[in-house]
Parts: sequence; C-alpha cells; structure tokens
Amino acid sequence: MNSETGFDPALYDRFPTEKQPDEDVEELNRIWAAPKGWGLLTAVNNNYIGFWYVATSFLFFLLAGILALGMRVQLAAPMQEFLPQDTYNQFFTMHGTVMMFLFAVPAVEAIGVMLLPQMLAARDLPFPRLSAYAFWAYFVGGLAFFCSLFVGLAPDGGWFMYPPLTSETYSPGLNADFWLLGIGFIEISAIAGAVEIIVGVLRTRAPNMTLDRMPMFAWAMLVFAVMIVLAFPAVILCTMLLEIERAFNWPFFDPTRGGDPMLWQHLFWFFGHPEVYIIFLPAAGLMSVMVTSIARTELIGYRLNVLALVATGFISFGVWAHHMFATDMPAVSTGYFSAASMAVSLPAGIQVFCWIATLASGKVQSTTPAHFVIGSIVTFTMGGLTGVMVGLVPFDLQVHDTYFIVAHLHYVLIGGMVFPMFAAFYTWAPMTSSKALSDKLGKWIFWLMFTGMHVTFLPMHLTGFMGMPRRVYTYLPGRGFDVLNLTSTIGSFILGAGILLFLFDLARNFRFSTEESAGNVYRGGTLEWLPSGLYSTRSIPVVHSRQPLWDNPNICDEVEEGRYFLPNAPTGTRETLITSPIRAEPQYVQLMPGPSPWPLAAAVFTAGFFLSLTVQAYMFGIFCGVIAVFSVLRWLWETDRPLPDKKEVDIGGGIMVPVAITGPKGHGWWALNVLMVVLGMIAFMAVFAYLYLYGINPEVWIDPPSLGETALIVGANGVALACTWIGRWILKRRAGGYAHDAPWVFQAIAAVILAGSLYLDMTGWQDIGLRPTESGMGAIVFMLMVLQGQVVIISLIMAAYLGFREARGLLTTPTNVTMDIVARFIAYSAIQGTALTLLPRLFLGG
Amino acid sequence: MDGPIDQPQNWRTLVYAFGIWLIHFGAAYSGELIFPNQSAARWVAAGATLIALAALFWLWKRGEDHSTLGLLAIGIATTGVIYDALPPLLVW
Amino acid sequence: MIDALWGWPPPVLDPAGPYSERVTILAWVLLAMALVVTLIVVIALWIAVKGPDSLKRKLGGEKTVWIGGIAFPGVVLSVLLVWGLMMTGSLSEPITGKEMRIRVVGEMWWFRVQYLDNQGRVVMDGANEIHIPTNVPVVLELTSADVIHSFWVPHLSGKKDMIPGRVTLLRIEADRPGVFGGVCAEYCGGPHALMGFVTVAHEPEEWKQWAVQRNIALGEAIEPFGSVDVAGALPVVDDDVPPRIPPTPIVGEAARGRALFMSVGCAACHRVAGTEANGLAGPDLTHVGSRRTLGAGILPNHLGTMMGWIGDSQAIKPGIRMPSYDRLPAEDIAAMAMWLEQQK
Repeated sequence: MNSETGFDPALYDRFPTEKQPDEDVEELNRIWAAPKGWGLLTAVNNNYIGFWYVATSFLFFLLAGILALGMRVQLAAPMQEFLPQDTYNQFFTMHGTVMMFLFAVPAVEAIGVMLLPQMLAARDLPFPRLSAYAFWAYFVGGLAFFCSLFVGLAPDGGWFMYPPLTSETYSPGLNADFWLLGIGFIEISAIAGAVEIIVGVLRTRAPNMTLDRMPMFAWAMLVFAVMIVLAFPAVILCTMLLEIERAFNWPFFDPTRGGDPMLWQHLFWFFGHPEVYIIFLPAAGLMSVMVTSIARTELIGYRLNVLALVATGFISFGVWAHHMFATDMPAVSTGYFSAASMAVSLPAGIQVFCWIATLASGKVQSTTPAHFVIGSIVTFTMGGLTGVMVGLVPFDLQVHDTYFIVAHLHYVLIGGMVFPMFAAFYTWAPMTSSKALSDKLGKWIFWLMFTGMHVTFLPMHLTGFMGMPRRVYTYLPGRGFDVLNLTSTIGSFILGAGILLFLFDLARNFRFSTEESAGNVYRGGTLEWLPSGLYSTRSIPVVHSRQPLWDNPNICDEVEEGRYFLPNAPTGTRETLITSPIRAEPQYVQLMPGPSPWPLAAAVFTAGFFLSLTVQAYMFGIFCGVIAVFSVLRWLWETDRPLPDKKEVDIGGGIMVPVAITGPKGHGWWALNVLMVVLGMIAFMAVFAYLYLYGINPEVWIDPPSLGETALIVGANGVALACTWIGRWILKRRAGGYAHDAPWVFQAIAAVILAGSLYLDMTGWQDIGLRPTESGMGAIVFMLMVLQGQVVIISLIMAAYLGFREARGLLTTPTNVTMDIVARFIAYSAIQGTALTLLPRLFLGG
Repeated sequence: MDGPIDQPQNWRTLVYAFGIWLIHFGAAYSGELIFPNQSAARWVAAGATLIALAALFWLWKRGEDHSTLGLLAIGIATTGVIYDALPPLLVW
Repeated sequence: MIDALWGWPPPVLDPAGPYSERVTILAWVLLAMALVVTLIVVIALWIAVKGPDSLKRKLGGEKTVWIGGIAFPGVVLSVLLVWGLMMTGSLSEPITGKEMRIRVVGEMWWFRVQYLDNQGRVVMDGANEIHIPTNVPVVLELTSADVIHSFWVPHLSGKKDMIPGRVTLLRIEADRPGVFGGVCAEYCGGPHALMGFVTVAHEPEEWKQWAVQRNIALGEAIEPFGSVDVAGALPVVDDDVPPRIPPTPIVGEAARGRALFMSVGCAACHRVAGTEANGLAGPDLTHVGSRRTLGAGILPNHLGTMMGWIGDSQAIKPGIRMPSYDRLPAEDIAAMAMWLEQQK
C-alpha cells in the first residue's frame, strides 16, 4: 500500500483505542464554549455562523418571494395598476438579483459552512474568522441593499444590468449604484467562502477519508468553490468597470468613445452561466446524499457522479454566450455555444439517472425529503429539457427573452435548487434543532409547493409562445395572455401557501440548539450524524467507507468515548486536524482562532465603505475603509502564533504530528494560492477586455510610450521580485528564535518599488496624451493600472503589518507563515505588474 | 483499498481531457472572434480540432489501464470536441 | 382554457414566412422530445419508487446510468445539434444585395422605420409600422439610438438585438398577407412593456399601390425587387426633397388643429412632410392617419384614441418622452387629432 505523505496506513489499525477520560470532554467544552449574551455576536464557530448564514439566506428567499407575489398580482390581468411601472421594474430587478445573489449562492454556501465540518468530522472550517467576516459582510450589505427598495432607490435595470441602459446617461439615479454595491458584498463573501471550502474539503477531512470516500456533497462543494474562484472574477471586474464608468466617466461600454456595450454581456455571462451551475451543483450534491439515505443504499454510480460534477464544472465555462444568440454574433460562434450547451447536458443526465438507479436499487421510504427529492428530479428534468431546446440557436431566437425562458429558468432553479434545499431542511434540521420538523406537515408543504410551482410555470411556456416578452410590467388585453397569466398568478399563491405552511412548521417545531439535537431521524450514514457538540465530534474517526455509520454500528459510541483521533485538546486551544488532500493522511494540528469582534467590525466598516462610496460620501468612505483594514489586521494579529513549548503533539494512538507548519503543506499556503488564482483571473479578464475592445474599436488605439521606459518598469519589478526572495532568505538564515534583523524591510522595499513602477507606468501613458475619460483605450489601459494599484496597496499594507509583527517579536525563524504569505503576495504583485504593463505597451499599439 | 479517484493518474486524465476540450473550444471561438465570418476562422477551427483529437488519442494511448472514470472522461471530452467541430462544418 | 386558446395557434407556432416556418417544425419536434423524455423519467421514477421488484432490479444498477444517462441523451443531443446547426446555417445565409432594405431604429420606446433605396438612402420615414410585400426577401438594418432593444415579429422570424453603435441585420420574408404584431424583446427601461409595432405584409400589387400613395422614391431601387415590379409607376424624387403627396386642402377645425400643432410644441419633435413641422426626436407623423396603431403598437388608431394620446399620453404610457397636453382645452386637442387623422 502506498502513501501520499509517508504516513503509514497501518497506524490506522490502532483505532479504536482505549476509552479516554471524560474530563477531556469538559476541556473541549470549555475551549469551544461560545460567548454569552451580546458576545455571541463575536462567535466564529461554524455551528453559529452556519446557522445564521442559512437563516439570513432564507430570509432573502422569503423577501424576494414576496416581490414575486407582488409581480404576479400586477400581471394577473392586463393593464392593471397594482404596481406602478417604476416600482414593478425595481421589483423584478430586485427579485432576480436577490434570488441569485443574496439567496441562491449564499444559501448553498451557508449549507456548506454548516454541514461540511460535520460531514468531514473537522472541528471547524479552517478559517473561522474569515467565515464570520464573510457572513457579516453579506448580512449587513445584503440588508442595506434590500432596504434601497423602501426608499425607491432600488436598481431597475434588470438583474443582468446591461449598459448603456444602466450607464449614467440612462440611469442617472443612485439605483444602479446600489446594485453594484449589493453585488460587491456577495463577491466578497462568495470568494471568502470559496477559499474556506476548497481548503476545508481538501485539508480537513477525517483521516483515511480518501477522495473516493468523500460524501458527494463535499465533492459538489469542492467543484462549486473552484467554479466561484474562476467565475466570480469576471463579475468582479465588470461591476468595477461599470461603477468606474458611472462615477468617473471612463467609457468602457460607450460606443461613441470607443467602448462597447457587448463587453459587459461577455463578462457578465462568463460569470452568469457558470453561476447557474454554482447554484445547482451543491444542491445536486445534497440530492446525492439524500437519495442515499432515502433509498437506504449506496449511491449507484458514485464515480460517474463525481465525473459528472467535474465535467459540468469545465463545460459550463463554454456556454456563456448562449445568452447572447440574438446579439450580433457570427452564426458559427453561436454554433460553438450551442454545441457546448448540448455537451453540458450530458453530465446532468448522468446525475439524474444515478439518482433514479439508486432509488430503484433500494427501498424508498415515504418521507418528506423523499417527496421533495422525487419532485425535484421531475421538475429539474423538465427544466433541463427546455434548456436543451433553447440550446438550439433557431429555436432560442424565437423564445429568447420571452416567458418561455422565465418558465425554463424557474423549472431549473426551483427543481434543481429550491426543492433539494427544502428536502435538506427536513433532513438536516434535526441536526441543529432539538425537535425535528413535522414529516406529516412536510408532505402537505411539498404538495402545495409542487402543485403551485407547476401551475405557475407550466403555462408560461405557452405564454412565451404567444409572444409575451419578459420583464414587462403589464400587457395589452386581447392577445391571448389573460387566462394564462391569471393561472400563473393563482399558482404562485399556492406555492406561497406552501412556504407559509413551512414557516408555521418552523415556528412550531424548530428550536435551534447546539446542546441537544433531535438526532438522525432519517438515518443517514455520513459523519454529520455522529454525536457532537460545538467542537464537532469528540474524537475524529478513521473512515473506511462512504457510509461509516452504516458500516460500523458502534462508531457513534466509539467516537463519543474518544477512541479515535484528537480525543482531547492536546494544545489546550482550539485546533483541528489537517490531513493530506488525496488520501487524508494526518499531517499536522492546526491552531484555530476563537471568538473575536474584529471580523464583525471589519464587515460593518466594509459595508460602511461601500455604502459611503455609493452615496458619494468619499471622506467618510475612506474613514470606514481604513477602519475595515485595521479590523482585518487586528483579527489576524492574534493568529500565526506557534506555541514555543509544543512542536509536536500526540493526536491519539501515540501518533505524533507537528503543530502548525509553513510551506506547501500548510493550509495558509493553499488559501493564498486560491486567492492568487482569483486575482489572476481578474487580471486575465481585464486582458480579455483589453483585447476585445481593441478588436471592436482599433481606431481609438494610439502608439505606446517608449520601449526604454517599458524596460525600466520591468526591470524595477524584477528588483522587487528579488527583494521578496532576499527577505525570506534572511529569515531562513537565522534558525531558531525570533527574527530581529529586519527581513521585513526587504518586503517593504519591494512594495515601494512596485508603487514606483506603477507611477512610472501611469505617467508614461499620461505623457503621450492618453486619458481614461477620452477613449475606450484610455479607459481600459488605466483600468489595468487600477487593478495593479489594488494589489500594490495591499502589498504596502502587508509589508507594514509584517514590520509591526517583527517589532513585536512575532516573526519566528527559520520560516514564518506571515512572512511566507507577504513575500509570496508581493512576488505575485510584481509578476502581475509586469504582465499588465507589457500587454498594452508591446501589444497592438497604434 | 484505493478507489480509482484516489490515484493521481486518473485525475490527470480527467483534468487533461476536459482541459483539451476547453482549449479547443477557446481556440475555435477565438478564431471566429478574430476572423468573424471569414474562412480563416474555419481553418483555425479545423486545425484545432485535429490537434485536440490527436491529444485525446494520445491521452487514451498513454495509460495502459484506464479506469472507467478516465475512459468516460475521455469519451465526454471527445464528444465535446466533436460537437464543437460541427459548427464550422455545418453552418454556412 | 378555451379563452387561453383563443389566440391559438400562438405566433411562434403560426409561421407566416420561410424563416419562421422552419423554426416551427423544430419547435414541434423539440416539444415532442421533451414530452417523451419527461414521460420516460417519470415512469422510471415510478418504477423506482413503487414498481414491481423485477423491474426495480433491472433499473437499480449502473447500467441504467450508462443507457439512460449517457447513451440515450448522447444520441438525442447529437441528432438535435446537427439539425440545429444546419438550420442555423440556412437561416443565416449571406446578404445578396438583391433584398429590399429597411432600417429600423429602436428608440426609447418606439421604432423608427426608414425605407432605403439600394444606395442606402432614406426614401421614406415612418414609425412603428413596417410594410413589406409578400414573397420578397427583406433585410432589416437594425440599430439603436439609445439603449439595447430587440426586434421581434414571432410570425416572421426570430429576434435580433438592436445595439447602439452597431448595425445588425435580420432577414424577414412573409409568404402570406397579414398584419403581424411585433415587440421590443430586450428590457429597455421604463415602459418597455408597451413598446410594440406591427408588420403589414401586402400582396405585391397592393404594396405597390401603398408605395405609390406614399410616393416612395424607388427610382434607384427598381433592380433589387426582382420579379416584383413595384417601382415602375413611381417618380424619381430628388434626395433632398422629401417625397410627399400634396396635402389635401384643409378647412375648419382641421385647419385650426394644424395651426395648433405648429404652435403648441408638437412640431418641435415631430415631422409632417410638406409642412413646417420638422422635428426629428419623435416619430414621423407624415402618414399617421393611415397607421393601424398609436403609441408604438398599443392603441387602435382613431379620433378618440388620438385625442386621448395627445391629452394624456403619460397616463397611457408612463415615462415616455412626450408630455401630456392636458392643459389644452378639449376642443383644441380634438382639432389637432382631427388634422392628424387626415394625414393618411
């Protein structure tokens, strides 16, 4: 048997070990205890953050649902005046935006934060304070964004926000800015969550839970997080471009000055279509887990399902322009996207038939989750089929932007995400509530929702064929729309009644508790059903199969008696076990930060920063920004403090592993890599935007500055790169103890050089007369510098932070996580700076 | 015992297969972006398709004992490449 | 349901020309496909949950995934893709230069229609109504004056976006006479819901008469019409002089309405060829009296609706650029409406 890390798998035979003393449980309880009273707001544990996260996203689901009911009332009959035009336009924009950005993505992410550590038997997610920050940024920002509706300032340009409708000329109010603001928060929290989930799934699994034994939900979340990392940069960039165009008049999308409105559509949909799978895949993962417990049998085609998830992840990046068939694309181009749209249906088919085969191979119990799961398969299949239909260009050109699409997307999203989520509510509520939800009521809820859903959306296919376009606040009588629309309205209230009944069930039965849980009502076989407290499971079991609870009936007791890994807290603080990415071999013990008010403060002031910018209170915005940065640094300040007296600890069975390490084995290294991929993707998308604008409007391009200047900038960046390396080298030379000979200075020099070369780059372009407000070229070239400016500012802050830590004697030698991260980030900045400087200066000038 | 997912070579097959699909897609689409409605774009696409199919063939040949996983990944990627080779052939 | 089917067949399934006809066949096949596959999945689910054990055993293995989830969809998708691509190709055949040319400009929230000769010169302006002869291929040159709109006449063809800074081309052709409704399909803000138009397909002879009445300068455009000799009777008109039937003598209230139209502000935005009204911001009203609709496809056109539109356009279509002339006395509005209705 081979090994990934040199860990001897024979050591697993030592488990279960002897029963461990009960005092250790009290120790765990003490260490992981949540703050009391208002202090609870500073909690960072995933049991709390995950629950708040799910609850908040569900609140947004309800709010956006209420908007939908309002719209259905307005459309119940032709030429109604229930909602005035501008209110309706705000309603449909908010319904789409809130459902996609404030409900669907956060909801699946929230379920991940809540379930993943338990499913993987980790003590917590690897970066609890980051989770807390992501949640609070989302909570504060999302609510502030939603409230814009009450003052009539909600965005009204559609959730897709196509310019020029959303540019300053045609949307002069603050409405569109609020959209960009609201999305900004979701970008932050989605990226933070993705970092968390990638590292969590790959590095904090229970020992011996190899990739092949991972619960399908963990697989889905892994693909989900990777997709966020690759797709969200596109929307981050395009929201930045639009806000800069609106605020500073840089003409990225203005055709009269060498911009192009189609650039937005490419960037938005490059994010927008993967987004659909970002929402669907985690729900599909939940489905796979639930199908297993419903049928009481292993998932048929586990590996095919994994393949389907990965294939979907890849192919979904080749379908974005199928939202743009009606634009001015060459026919052959439409063909490519049509072809990829067909190809992406294959993996969906694999998943659906895996579920059917699994249900057939077992014995299906008539429970509420079973109802929702089966309803979901039917509904999602129907939506998938209309998806295949609209994947064909000639047909799409007829139904594009009509109610047929409204029907299609609701079938896919409700069938593919909402029904699985309700099934998940019923399945996992007992894990976090002292009472299970009512299975009997649940079936009523299912039938109301299922009926309502189909009564609402099935007729819409025909409404679309009748010629009714989307996003209309009213319609004319006598076009054959009347009865169909009335039917849809009735259906939407049946659906609403189902959800109302669910709220009743929640109110009657749901009692959040971290102490006692209602238990494994539906008898799932995965690790989240181990007995647990705030510290997750008492000990972390060795996993030998995909359904450990079914295969080892004693496992619950054994875990509870501490007969597996980490039965106590060997370091005396919060910690979790880091394992290797493929075979999950124990590698080291990670120290975890505890409760802190700083993530909350950082989130509140981040919100303040964005809100102030939106209402153009720039001074207050900068004030908030500074405090937000300070808060982030403050929360980091307490981390990365290795325990001098404990280099290695016993994690059970006499197995010794190190405490906290640096380099490629460390979880921080992985997280930084993910972050650099995000930044790299943003830069890559900007490069695409540059080339695209050149392709559309080459006539506004001018000759670049001299080559000598370019060489100087590149040379300076090279020196900066060397400095980052020297800083690390100095630290390494000095083995043992703490560094005092200022290795941080070299990082600071590197960061300052980068700022200087950016300045040189900027003045070089200004000297030859390029202005960001005058042409598409000016706008995009200066945009490349804005992106570089961001990483340079972060580099400067990081270097200063490193200096402070050294001054306080916190830089351990020979290696140090903080030093590692700062040096690598600045090195990344130097490389990005070089690439973004060279592109416009060497390529396609005049 | 280990499942096929735990073996890195299967991962490589999987990622390479879909990577080839993605690169082929990108090359063909970029060709059309750069030479819209021109025959040059069709040549680019044809060339990309030949290279992609050759690469997939190499991927299939290079592992002696592919798991079902690897084979199906190559199969889906090949289907995808062939699908994306159709537009320049059929859309005139 | 009878009422719902009142409009049956829906426009998408009721083709009136060669382009939409092929799509209609595709639509029916796709609908059938979707229905069959849904049935297969529902039956499979029924077997999985409640079916007899013998069937369940057959279904409950990885073979189901290979057949149902991989092989079957693979075949269906491949066939559909090939068909769809071939149709895409045939629908996007290149422009030959022999087609009739009409420019349609999307503006917030109406359609400017300009008939072009084969040199691309405007020979007649119109708004919200497109007249075409049957069995003549027409190329629409679509663009936008402000935000993105989308042009859609479901009876005739799929849609095409109207994008500022670009001209997109859409072929349409009607093979039977009729009046076919169209809408803006891309959300364009405010009263997007009320941005429509009609396309009127005439028999070629009838179209010729219509054109003669409107005096389109088709002198240069004779060739492109091929078999349809519509231009024989038409005089060649100098580019700079707008073609115009001499205004009929106007008397009484209508004359007063004409004077009001010029004085209260209408003429600043609207053009009525042959008069001093020369505004270009709003729809051309030269032949407004003969149009089928008012307000961009939303109201039938008669004296009453014309009065309502002038007096209270903001209530009918909130948010549009035209103010309500609700401060004018009713008889003034009536006089203007009367004159406008005479502009056939």
